[in-house]
Amino acid sequence: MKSSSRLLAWFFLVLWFAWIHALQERLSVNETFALATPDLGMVFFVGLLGVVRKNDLFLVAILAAICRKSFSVEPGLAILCGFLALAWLASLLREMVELSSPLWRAVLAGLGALGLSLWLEVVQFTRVGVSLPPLDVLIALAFTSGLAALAIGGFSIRLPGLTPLRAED
Amino acid sequence: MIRDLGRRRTIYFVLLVVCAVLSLRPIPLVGGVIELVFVPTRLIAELVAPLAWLRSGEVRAAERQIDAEARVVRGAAADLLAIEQQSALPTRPKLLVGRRMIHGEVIRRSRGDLDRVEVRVASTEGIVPDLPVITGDQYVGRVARLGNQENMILVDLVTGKDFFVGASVARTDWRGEAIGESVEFVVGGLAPRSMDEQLHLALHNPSLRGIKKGPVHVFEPADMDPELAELSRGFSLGELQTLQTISGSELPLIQSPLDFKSGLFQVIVLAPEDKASAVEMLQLETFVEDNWIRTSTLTRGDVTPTREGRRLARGSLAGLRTGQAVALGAHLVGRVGETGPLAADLIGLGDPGVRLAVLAEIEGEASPRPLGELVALGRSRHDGSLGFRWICRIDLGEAREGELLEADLYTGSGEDGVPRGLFIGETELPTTRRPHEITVWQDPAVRELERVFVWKGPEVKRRPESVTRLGGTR
Repeated sequence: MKSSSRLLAWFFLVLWFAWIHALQERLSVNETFALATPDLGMVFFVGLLGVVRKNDLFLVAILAAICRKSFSVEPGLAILCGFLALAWLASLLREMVELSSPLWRAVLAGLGALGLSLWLEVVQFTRVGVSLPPLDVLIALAFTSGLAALAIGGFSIRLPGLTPLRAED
Repeated sequence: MIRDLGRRRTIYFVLLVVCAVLSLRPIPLVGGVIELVFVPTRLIAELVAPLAWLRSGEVRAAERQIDAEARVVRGAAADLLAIEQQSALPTRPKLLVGRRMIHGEVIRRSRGDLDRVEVRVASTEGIVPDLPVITGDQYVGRVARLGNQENMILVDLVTGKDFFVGASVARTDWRGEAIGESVEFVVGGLAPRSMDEQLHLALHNPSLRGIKKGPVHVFEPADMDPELAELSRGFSLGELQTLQTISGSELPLIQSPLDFKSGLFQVIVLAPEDKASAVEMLQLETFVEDNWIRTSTLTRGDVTPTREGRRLARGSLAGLRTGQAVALGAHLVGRVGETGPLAADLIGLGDPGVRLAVLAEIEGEASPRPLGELVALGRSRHDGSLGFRWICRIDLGEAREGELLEADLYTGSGEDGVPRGLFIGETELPTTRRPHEITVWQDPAVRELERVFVWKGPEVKRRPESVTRLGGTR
């Protein structure tokens, strides 16, 4: 694979992450979707975890974190920590299960969305001392994210410009 | 090969743990370096700029509305603040004579040392350590020393555990008529904390035991420094009360009408009378254009649905600092969160944890009331109202239990980076002295804005160190 096409693919990845997070941000302030908005950034990220090269996992996580921070006031380091933890978990799971299967993708996206939200809430709680949000909000987020991953997660790697990132196996 | 992979995973895991710890307990120096990783976020937010075009009509309409209201709301706020400043002066004629009065505003209080506040004064000429500080007819504390910046002083509050001031209470019979000599004692520090988070001043070494109630006034012994003793004499410290402890003994303490923890906004430094003007007041600087940095928002909301924040298009290189107020017109939009070199976070008022010192204009009352600190609990998804936690530590008139008072809320003093007089919203205030959750209605247009201003404040010069040292050694 030419390195220039891979470089272009990384650029496209940032572009897609940016637009997906922007869409998620717009949906989360929309009165109709609000708390039922799936974590689309996480769905896209998990969709990639099962199909990109193992060596690329952590770079994907770093780019996902930077793009999410562009649309969030959560602490950047905490976001980075959340995505890197998920990439680490995925690198372990890939040796045991088929992460690119729809079911595993849905489970990982649901748990990832729940885990990341919970982690960011804990960070907020530790820093400013406000109470944690009700669990039903987080469970709704996990459920809609899992459903979204089941329905559209498989399209992640098929988005224009990303093919060079696919693992050749 | 497998061993190498295992080692790499272990190193990675250790790095993850370090990241997690730093997320929970940030270290500013490390945080500054990590912020560099997120510099591209400024550019990435621009990549989706076409999305903003879809709602540009709503944004322009909201900005026009806020701009149109600005003149009226600013005028109302300026009038209110002028009254607030005046209400810091003593009301009893006896307390007005023989003293030079220098007005000051509490600028910041340290989270670590609540018994010392930093005050910006109209003039530091003639201000020396130990001069008494008051607000209205109430005694507040003493000047500790000059601050590191011009026109700034540090004030030790009477709540400090090492603070002592002479005081007296008149002995009265059952009809309230004075009998015999008044009882003298020392006041300073806080009495043991009661359950309802109210603060009471402690009382020590009474000249006569058994006195249970009555108004307490400053009565410094003249042998200390006759001039200083005379300046503070007659100012009130509060009302003497007697509580029954669990063990059955009686605990005398003083209930002050002031909220020393977060509701002290305007103060007066008392100095000996001289040729200078008898009363010197601060100028209001909130609505001076040069004190604000113009910027815009890059996003409309946050990807996390439980947060209310936006990204700002300027960062620390443009002078943005964590905690600064963000406003448009006379409306407070939020406060600056984390800052990177090129972009920063704007934390909205609906974001849980935002802290504000608040001044209330209560319907039917001539002067505004400092409410103290409000902590944001979040925004209601049903009606868009804001929830705040407020510990009422002041008397709000003669309202009956359960009665609510309609009020407009403005920013007060004492929160670093937030100027006084920015409009927050409307509310109904409960009147009982205990913790409450109050609902505030904010103008919905405030959430639609793109063009905003960040408070940088008037330019302050650092004071030469020799002068600061001189001020600290009276």
